[in-house]
Amino acid sequence: MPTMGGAAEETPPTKLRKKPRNSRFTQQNLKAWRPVLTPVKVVLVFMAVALVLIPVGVACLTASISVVEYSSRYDNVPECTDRANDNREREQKLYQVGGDGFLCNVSIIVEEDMKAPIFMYYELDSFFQNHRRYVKGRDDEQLKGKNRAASSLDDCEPRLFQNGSRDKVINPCGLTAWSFFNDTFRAFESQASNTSELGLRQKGIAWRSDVEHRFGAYEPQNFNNIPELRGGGEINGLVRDDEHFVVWMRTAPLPTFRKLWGIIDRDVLQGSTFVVEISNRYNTYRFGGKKSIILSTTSWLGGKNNFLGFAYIVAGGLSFLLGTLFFVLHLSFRRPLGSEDYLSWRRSG
Amino acid sequence: MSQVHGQTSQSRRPHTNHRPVRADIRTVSFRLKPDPPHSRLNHEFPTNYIRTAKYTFYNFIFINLFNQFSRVANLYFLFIAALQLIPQLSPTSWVTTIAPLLFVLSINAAKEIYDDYNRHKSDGEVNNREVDVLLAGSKPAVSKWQDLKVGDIVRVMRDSEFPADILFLSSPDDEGLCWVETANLDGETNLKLKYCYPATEACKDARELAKELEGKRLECEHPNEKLYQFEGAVVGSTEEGLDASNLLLRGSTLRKTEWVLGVVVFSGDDTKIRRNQQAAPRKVTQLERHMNVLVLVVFAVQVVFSVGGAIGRHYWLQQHGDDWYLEASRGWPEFGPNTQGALVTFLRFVILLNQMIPISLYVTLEVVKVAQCVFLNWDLEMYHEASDTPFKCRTTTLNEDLGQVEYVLSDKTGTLTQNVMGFVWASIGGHLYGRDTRSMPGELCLPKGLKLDTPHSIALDPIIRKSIERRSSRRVHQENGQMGLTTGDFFFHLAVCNTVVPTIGEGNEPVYQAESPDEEALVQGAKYLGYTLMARSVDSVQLNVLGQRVDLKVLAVLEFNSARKRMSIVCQLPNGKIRLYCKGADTVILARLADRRQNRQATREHLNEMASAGLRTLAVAQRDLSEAEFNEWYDKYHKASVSLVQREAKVEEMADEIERNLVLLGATAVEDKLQDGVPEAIERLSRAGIKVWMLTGDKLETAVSISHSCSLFTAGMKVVTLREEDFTELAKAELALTQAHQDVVRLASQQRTGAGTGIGLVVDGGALAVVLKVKFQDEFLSMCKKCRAVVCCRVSPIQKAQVTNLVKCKAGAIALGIGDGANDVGMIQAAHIGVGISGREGRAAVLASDFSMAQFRFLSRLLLVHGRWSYKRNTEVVMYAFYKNFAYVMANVYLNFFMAGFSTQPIYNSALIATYNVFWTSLPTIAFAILEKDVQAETVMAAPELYMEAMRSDWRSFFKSLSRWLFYALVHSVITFVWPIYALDWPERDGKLVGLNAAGVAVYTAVIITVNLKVAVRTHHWTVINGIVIWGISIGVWFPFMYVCSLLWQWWELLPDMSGVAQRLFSVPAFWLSAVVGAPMFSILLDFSVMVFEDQFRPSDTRIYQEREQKRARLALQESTSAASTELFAAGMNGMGLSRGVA
Repeated sequence: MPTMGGAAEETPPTKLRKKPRNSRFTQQNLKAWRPVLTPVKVVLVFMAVALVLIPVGVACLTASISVVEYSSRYDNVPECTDRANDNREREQKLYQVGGDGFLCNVSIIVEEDMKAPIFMYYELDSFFQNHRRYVKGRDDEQLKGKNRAASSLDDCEPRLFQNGSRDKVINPCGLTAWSFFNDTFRAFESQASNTSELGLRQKGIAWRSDVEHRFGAYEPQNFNNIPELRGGGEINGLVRDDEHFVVWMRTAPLPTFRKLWGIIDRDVLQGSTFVVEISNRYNTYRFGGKKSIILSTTSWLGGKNNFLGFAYIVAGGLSFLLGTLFFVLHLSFRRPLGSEDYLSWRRSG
Repeated sequence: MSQVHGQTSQSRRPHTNHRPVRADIRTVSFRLKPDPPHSRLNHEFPTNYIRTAKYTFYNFIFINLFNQFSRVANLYFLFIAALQLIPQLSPTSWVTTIAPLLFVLSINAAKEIYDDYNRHKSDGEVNNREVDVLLAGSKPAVSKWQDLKVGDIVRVMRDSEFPADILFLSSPDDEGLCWVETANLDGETNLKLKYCYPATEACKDARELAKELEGKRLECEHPNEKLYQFEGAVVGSTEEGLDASNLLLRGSTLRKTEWVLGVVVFSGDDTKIRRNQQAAPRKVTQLERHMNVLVLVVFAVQVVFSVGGAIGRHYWLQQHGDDWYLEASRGWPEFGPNTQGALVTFLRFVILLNQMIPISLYVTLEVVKVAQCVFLNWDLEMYHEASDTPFKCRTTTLNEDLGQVEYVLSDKTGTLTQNVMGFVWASIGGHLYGRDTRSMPGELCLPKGLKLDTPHSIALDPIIRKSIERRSSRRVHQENGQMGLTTGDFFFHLAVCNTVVPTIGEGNEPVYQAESPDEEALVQGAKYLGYTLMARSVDSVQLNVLGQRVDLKVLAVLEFNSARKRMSIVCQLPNGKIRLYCKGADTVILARLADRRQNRQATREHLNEMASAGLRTLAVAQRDLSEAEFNEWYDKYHKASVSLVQREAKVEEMADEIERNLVLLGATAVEDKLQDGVPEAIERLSRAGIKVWMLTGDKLETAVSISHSCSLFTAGMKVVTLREEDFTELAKAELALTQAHQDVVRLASQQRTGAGTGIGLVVDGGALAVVLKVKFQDEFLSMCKKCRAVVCCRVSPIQKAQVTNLVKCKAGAIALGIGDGANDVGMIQAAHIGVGISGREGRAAVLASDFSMAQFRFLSRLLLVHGRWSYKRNTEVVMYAFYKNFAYVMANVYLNFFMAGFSTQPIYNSALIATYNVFWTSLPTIAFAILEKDVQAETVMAAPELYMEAMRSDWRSFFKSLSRWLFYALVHSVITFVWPIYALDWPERDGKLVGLNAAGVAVYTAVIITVNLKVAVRTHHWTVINGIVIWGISIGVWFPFMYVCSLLWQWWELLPDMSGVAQRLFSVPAFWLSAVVGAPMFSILLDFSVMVFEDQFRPSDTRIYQEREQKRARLALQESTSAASTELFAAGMNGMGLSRGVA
């Protein structure tokens, strides 16, 4: 139909200066993948997800089950507290011995073979290493060995000056370092009547990057040297060389946490008994925290942790169930793909 | 227009004047000679410098920051940052807020700088234009516009704009006339005649002017915005009055006149055009209004958590307040378990959780909208090739409102129609000519300048041409029994009886410019048929009739006005006869015929046919007068026309006396053709549930017929009319309105049962004025809501704006106003969205609009495709912004509420907090908002009903969908927190543990993967860009970034918390299994399930069309592949397999 209009009467400008560019991009016509999931595909996706998650879950669970782990609480063992009756008394007794603590033994019977390396942890409970006040109670540059003026160490309050005297800056300062865990352990293996000390390797227990870069090789100064204060250990040697300290400084996310103490590079077989000799010094009695000793092997996934395995199996199982449900519903209420009968304006009209 | 501005004008700018004259008068001295040094001549007036730019170099930073911080969200973050500067109070570093805030502020500032730079550039261009300034005794000097002063004598050349408001002193024209085009000012394209100050008419240079004006001064009113009003006088020994016809306004252009001399009266900001440039009202979209509420809601949530944290800490302290390793202080800032302590904890939680409000939301939206606008401007489907006009977004903030338009208020002329009047039909002596011209072969020899596609198609009718060519002007039409009236007389009449002033253009051809486009069409049509109007002056008309010159003497002109609805010219023919030519509305003319039976039946039928074809009709008649008759009448008429009291009424009476006993010649039909595609566009809009209202100045019949031809009213539609007659008295009006409302309700209920297609409502101008009164508004509107289309006729510009405001404020719906003329400006500015048609009626509408385009039909694409996309995309952007931040911040709540003793320990370190919004989660949502298409453009155009879903979403559905998003956010935050935390709580293979910092990084990793996957599952349209942005940039870059951050501490004292974290995590299988794969996958599995179950068992309309698209694409591919290889079935199967990958 020829247009009779006036617009057509004007001859179009010979040069279309303002004409937009015609490209796939400018015209919003880029090649695109437009997935539309048909029922079959949906079911396939659900099943595929289940098929991936469940085996991974099973693998994780298997790994976790293969780990041999023994744990024993010792903060309330009578020998470890000079047979005190309650936490208040235990704390009192700790104060009395002036920092030496109580020496005691805890025995753990090995019921399954433990392959080297065997890791020994201490575990604290109800200890809020993740508390804001605690976490920020440090100065990272000072820990790296930098010379820091007291004025820039505000975060270390209230453990910045020893005994409050301003010329005695604590290094490393802050609450985290000040409350350094100071129980010590030795491990023995007892077979029949034969007891031998197990070498507890205490190097290589901290992150390598921490030892190499984060902590400096310097002597601590004005550090916690008040034996009366139960809790708060001394740093042995240079800061970075005391890996127990380095481990301690990596604060834990949960109020119940374990820290690696030492590694036994030897198999311990079924039938033998671990005897751990503990110097019980650290005061968890004040706040009712528990202390345990843990011996554990690891799998490729790590320690004994069923969480991941179960999580995966639950997720996979859910996917399977949803897929099945979808399939059943689809069979019961078949809806032809793209049928106009289901359009809102058809249904209401 | 003057009513709109009336209130503001008087009080502005008190004037100081050193001369002892009245304060309400502006006195201007003429600058005829060079200024003496230290002259204070006219010094009190502003210079002619004009600034539209918002900022200067120096004030930019202050004004811009002030503007940005008037946004509540920005101010909020500034407040948070200020709190963070108190180290004892803040759990996080101030950098975490300042860095993203600075980023956000600088993006906005950059945009402002760019916009303002352009404004400065155009200001500079205008201010530096040049004009000649004349001074007595020296040569004309070239001056820049900005240097012009009030009182300067300037010379403006043809086709240039006036630099200021100028009093017209002289032009080369003998009568002291000039022509100006005022399209920029009021949108009218026809040329206007201006008259010079009579005393200086003959002065052609500065010297002569100086002589004439010596000792005189100009007194006039103070600057105001009234374009058509000016009162002033040149005062010397005498006082000579001046009015608006002597004033040449800035913004208009001199045409057809070699040059004019004038004196600057108003300069710079005093000019009428500047006075009219009101700041366009700031428009905020519905989504943004919802969003602002949303910010408050989320802030409330944040406060609730903070209060919860403060309370929780109180009880926690009772158990653990004395833990020795924490060495809790009882003073600032910790305090004990008391009010101060609670307050500090509250503030700490507010700071910790501040990111619940997405800092980048506003800037993301801004970026996204600008990008969407760029694509709108690029759309070839909205580009009009014939006029080389692309679509243009003039406002970049309203995109999503385009997806929610419920009312379209449209102008008619020039918007729905082309505003090209064509003389198409003529009823002459009982014959209807021109009806079938379009089907006739173009065998005719067409006169010069006439094309086959002329709008004046009457000229193509072979019968009429032949009858004229044969010069059968003496052929008598037998039917009417009346002798001597011929087609020739008819066109002769049309050529004479008008007010068109022709100018002679190229090749001695007259060119017509008329105030009424109808008249122009009739004269042009007559010209094509050989009856050419060659010249017109006050007392003569010169015609060219079939090659012969005919001169007529004009004895009287009885002008048109809307009450008379007719005009007449009394002429003396060359043979001495005196004849009255009259044309006007059919009802008026038919009532004034001498012989009432004459032709009436046939002509009346023709007139009906014309009107129902949507044509504008006029009846044409004449009367011969004897000299005595005329003289007698003329004496009385002349007396009336010079009378001082009630002149108009008296003249009208005299006109009425002579315009009687007419002889009918016939009737004309002028067509204002619909623009291309208008019926289709309106049909689409109406299928999309959009109510289209037509607001037109036309009379009722024309409006209704146009409504039918443009599909506004369809065949099955019932039409209810509110007539002016019923609304003359208030009491009657109330009754009539109630009656009409009942009719509408009754018809609506009938239609519910039958297969009707809705109700149309027609409102006459007089009735509209009544129903717009506050008393009737509600009922009127509730009636309108039941109608699919509403037509308001004979509407004034003010009423257009009033109707728009009514719909906007009372209907609670988004209203879009669309128009092309200056009379639509009010409507365009009042509407939520104003669309200007860049047509023939100048640029006023376009300048006031938010979006401009060349054709009405583009509106359907603008709303259905782009509007719908924008709404869906931008809503998603807003929802997603809140979702992602909520999902991410909640981990802090879990850590502190359940694990870290309400101590406000952040789970993420500063580097992570500062980069979350900007680096890892913004690009995918931006890409989504620019590229996503839930369905293709063609699909929406074919099924406009899809628009309703977006249109109908109000705040209720908005908050419903928001709560859904936040629910997902909650679930995702739990999963992304619990999985990594518990998976990493046990020792790794080497017996070491990851600790709090690394666990936080793992949670963070899980969150950013999850929120990116969330975009992925919601994307229906995967382009390469989406892929790169989600997988490559957001997720892909995160891991190297994390690695680099983890190394930084080794060389540089930065990010101690990240030290060694990545190296550690990367070697831990539990990290990969929990944070990278498990948690995101499980989170999204839930979203995915809900999505597929809904899509399959409760499908949205959009979903169904997605499936249809898929099916169609597959079929098309199947066909093409099977055509290509019919024999190889296997090949076809291969193709289908491929198709799934690509399609």
